[in-house]
Amino acid sequence: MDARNLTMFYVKLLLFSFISCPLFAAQDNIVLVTEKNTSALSKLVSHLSNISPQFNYHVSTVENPASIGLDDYVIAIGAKQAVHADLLKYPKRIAVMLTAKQAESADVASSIFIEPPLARQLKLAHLLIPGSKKLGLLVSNDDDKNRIFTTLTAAEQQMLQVINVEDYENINQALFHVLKDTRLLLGHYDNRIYNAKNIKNILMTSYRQQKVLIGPSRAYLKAGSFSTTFSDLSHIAQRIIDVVEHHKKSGHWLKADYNPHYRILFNPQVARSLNIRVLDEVLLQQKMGEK
Amino acid sequence: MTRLLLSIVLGWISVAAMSQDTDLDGFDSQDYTDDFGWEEESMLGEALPMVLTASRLKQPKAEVPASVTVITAAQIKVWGARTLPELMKFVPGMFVGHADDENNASLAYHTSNPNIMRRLQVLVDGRSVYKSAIATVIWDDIGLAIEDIDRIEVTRGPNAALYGANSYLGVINVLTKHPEDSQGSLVSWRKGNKGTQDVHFRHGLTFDSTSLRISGSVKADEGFDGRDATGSDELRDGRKHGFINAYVNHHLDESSSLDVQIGYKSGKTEMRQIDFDQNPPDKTTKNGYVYGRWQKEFSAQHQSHLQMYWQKEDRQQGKNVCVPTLALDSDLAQLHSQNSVWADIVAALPSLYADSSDIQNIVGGLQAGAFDPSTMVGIVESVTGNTIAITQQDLDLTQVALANVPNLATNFDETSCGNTDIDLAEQRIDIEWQDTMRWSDDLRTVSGLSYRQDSADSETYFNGEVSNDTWRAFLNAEYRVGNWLTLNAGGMYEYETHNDSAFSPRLAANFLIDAQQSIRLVVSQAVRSPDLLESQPEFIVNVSNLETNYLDLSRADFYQKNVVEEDEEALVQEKITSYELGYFVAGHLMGTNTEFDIKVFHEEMRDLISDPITLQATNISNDNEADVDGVEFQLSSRLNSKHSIWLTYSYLDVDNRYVGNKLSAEEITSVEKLERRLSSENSTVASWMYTDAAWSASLSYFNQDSRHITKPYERYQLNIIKPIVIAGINAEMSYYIQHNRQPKEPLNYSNQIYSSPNIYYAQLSLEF
Repeated sequence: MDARNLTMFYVKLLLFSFISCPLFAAQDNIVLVTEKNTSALSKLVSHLSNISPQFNYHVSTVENPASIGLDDYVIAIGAKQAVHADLLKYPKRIAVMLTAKQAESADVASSIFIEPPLARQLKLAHLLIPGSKKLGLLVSNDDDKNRIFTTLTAAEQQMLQVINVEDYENINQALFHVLKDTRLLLGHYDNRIYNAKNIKNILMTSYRQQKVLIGPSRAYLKAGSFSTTFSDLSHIAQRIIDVVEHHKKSGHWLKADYNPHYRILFNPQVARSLNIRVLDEVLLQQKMGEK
Repeated sequence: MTRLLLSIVLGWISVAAMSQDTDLDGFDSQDYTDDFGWEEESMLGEALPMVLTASRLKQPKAEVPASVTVITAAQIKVWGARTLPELMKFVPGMFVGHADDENNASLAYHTSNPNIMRRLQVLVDGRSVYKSAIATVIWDDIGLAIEDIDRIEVTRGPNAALYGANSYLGVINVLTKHPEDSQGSLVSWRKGNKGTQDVHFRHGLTFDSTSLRISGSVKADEGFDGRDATGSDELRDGRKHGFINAYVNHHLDESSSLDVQIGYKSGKTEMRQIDFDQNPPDKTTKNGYVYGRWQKEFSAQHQSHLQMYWQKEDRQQGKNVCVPTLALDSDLAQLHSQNSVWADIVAALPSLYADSSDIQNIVGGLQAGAFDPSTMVGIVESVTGNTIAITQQDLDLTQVALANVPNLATNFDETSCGNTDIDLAEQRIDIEWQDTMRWSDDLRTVSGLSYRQDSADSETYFNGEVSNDTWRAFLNAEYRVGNWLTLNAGGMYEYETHNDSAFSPRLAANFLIDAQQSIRLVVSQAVRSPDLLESQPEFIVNVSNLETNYLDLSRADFYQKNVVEEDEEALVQEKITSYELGYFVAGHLMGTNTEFDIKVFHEEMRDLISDPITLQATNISNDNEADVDGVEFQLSSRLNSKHSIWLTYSYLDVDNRYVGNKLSAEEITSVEKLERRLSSENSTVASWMYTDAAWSASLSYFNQDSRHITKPYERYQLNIIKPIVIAGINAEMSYYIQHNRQPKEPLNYSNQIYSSPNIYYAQLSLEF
């Protein structure tokens, strides 16, 4: 969105607020707090407005801080905002766009994690590349493994061949062992492993062995990962409304969790090159929903 | 029946593919490329590079402009094969046999002379192991462990547009495992009947940006059990070969890497004792190579590599011979160059008559000049049954040659013993620059330049050193027209110092029904260049250290020679034009994951050189042609997580003919048979594979009809693998057995038989 469109967006937002305020004076405010404005933020507000127009939406940035009432729902966008001292006085704080690990240190009422849950990624991987061999999973250390395993059932844990990177001299050796006798590499959100430095090695090595990387998230799909589940802005907006409405109705907060709303994404170039025929997304979604 | 089966399979897959699957382009690429930077900025700290760019990704199978069979490391393991030719039996349209008196496996895609495996290009990690002095591929001389192979890509059909001359019937591209994928240590030992005994070791390690694999092996077996008149296993075709090689990969920086390979191989191959041999002329071969490839990624769209290798081979094959002294007479050699058929009869006179007095009468008459040409023609006809041409000049020269024999009665059948050899040293230097460029989402090119120098040194074959330089330029373009058509066009131009220049083009159109289903039309041309012996022969056998003889020679040339005379017409390149209509689909079929490829084809081979250069060969020419029509399919299906099948079928109609005017009717029949001798009209391979953590197995069946080969060929083979743990070390035990129906009937030549129907071996591998 260019500057002119952004200006028009604010004009519309102000007009909407101005016109609607007298009519719905009792409406709750939802204030989205972020460091700077982006086109994605505009899209998020737009989705929120479409899903639930009964709320008033405001945007507060460092450059243009909004006035926030103590009863307003404050949506802290990003890990930095989730721990920002200025927001601590607002009790209805919901953190979004942060990882489950970052959320552990966030002092908020509820959180919506940015990454997909590993159990869901595992299920997707198993549907896309069926087989009897295990799925390879790299972890940084034993603590990570334990933390990950708490999110998985015993059956899901059995499906994994877990390799601890710390046990090897370098990532290449760990990769060799995790890809050996496994059918694919299941990525999880850990940027000590899946970072810009390592991702080339990881992708080239797995691709060379005709094995795909599933996940960890959408950003890796662009690099060459094969598929992932992904919560886009409309899904995040939907979950924000879920959390807010649940609180409004029950007075209780939904626990910090992964976003249950998602879609499945593929890298079609990788699928074509490895000759993987992908099931229809609707069929996949249906199978994903099956217990 | 076959047609019905095909239509059913095709129908099933097509319906399944169309109904259950979706075109990947249905997913919006914006989904992962839109301007949504929160994740990158707040979680990752930086944007991720695009790693699997279009220039790195392989061409989808549905868009490949050729029919390709890929054999993976997993299949190699579960099939239990111990040699490359054994694996090639699984490729549709590929036939594996042996040359006469040879223990080297001979391969032909569709049809070719088994005595010279020279119409297939074979590459190992981009290095050609096709020999250029006497064009062939000697499988035992490739220092490569079957355990180190990552995959084999077999292009079925001419592919000179990409790989150059000699990629005539097809290309076997062997790709070994990357050192990063061969970590740790592996030791394996294999022992079986027929003298099978192999040992292999491998060790791989990685440092920060460098990985290394060292591999070595010794492999031995006794070959066929065929026998000569002695009744024992006298067919000497055993072998024992060993090698050691190293493969280093080093990441120079984020965008470039260097691969270096170095290898040394030594081995001995038993050879059959024939003709004048006094001892078996066993062959000892030593070879080595150094290979380097520098790869550079200039951008996500532009990648290049510079590849260089040097390889050298030294073949020692000496023998003691005893030949008639007359055969060392230079006057007989002159007679041979004048009238080779008559010279051969003169040299063979001692063996033509049972009674020595008859010999003396004939030889005495020739020495005295008592016969005129017509009389001599009559005598030859009565003795040999053949009518030959003899001139007075021939008889005069014969008289001169026989005049050298003192005391004819006692010396005419004298033999002289000495040493000779067919030693050969070969060397190849090859430099190639290849550039892959993606100009747009739809257009991609692969182009390059290369230089190759082949040289050979042999007193026997070349009377010294010969060489041939080849310069090449190639360009291949792939253009996608929407989502429904991929066009491939390309060609390679080659300039050689000792052969004609050649341009080998290929055009292909792949009509995409969906992303994993296509119909392809391919037209391609290729050439096979005459090898160094065919283009520059000076085949002269010199016998040294001669015992006392009436010619009083200690060193002399055998009278038979094969030397190109200045006025003789040079051999030209063999040419092939191939037309192919293919259908490929990968899809879900009743819960299975299936790939199916079928093609119908028409191949026109022209200017074929059907005979190898030998001392006896007098009419080597380009006067042979073949037209091959047929159909073949390949079905690979993963039935579920544990079971999979592999099924191939090939039907061939070979029409080959001699179009020259130098051969007799009998010779024409012989040469025409030779070009079909490896092939069957119908051939089938069916294999079931089971893979599980507890154990794995495969059961395979091979069938060839006897249209051109000497018997119907049927074989079953079973391989069972059981993982175990020995003292905390991961190990695998496997057992392989091959059962041949009618093992005592030869496949291609009479001595290629087994004394028992089963070949078996057990293997133990330790990995740590």
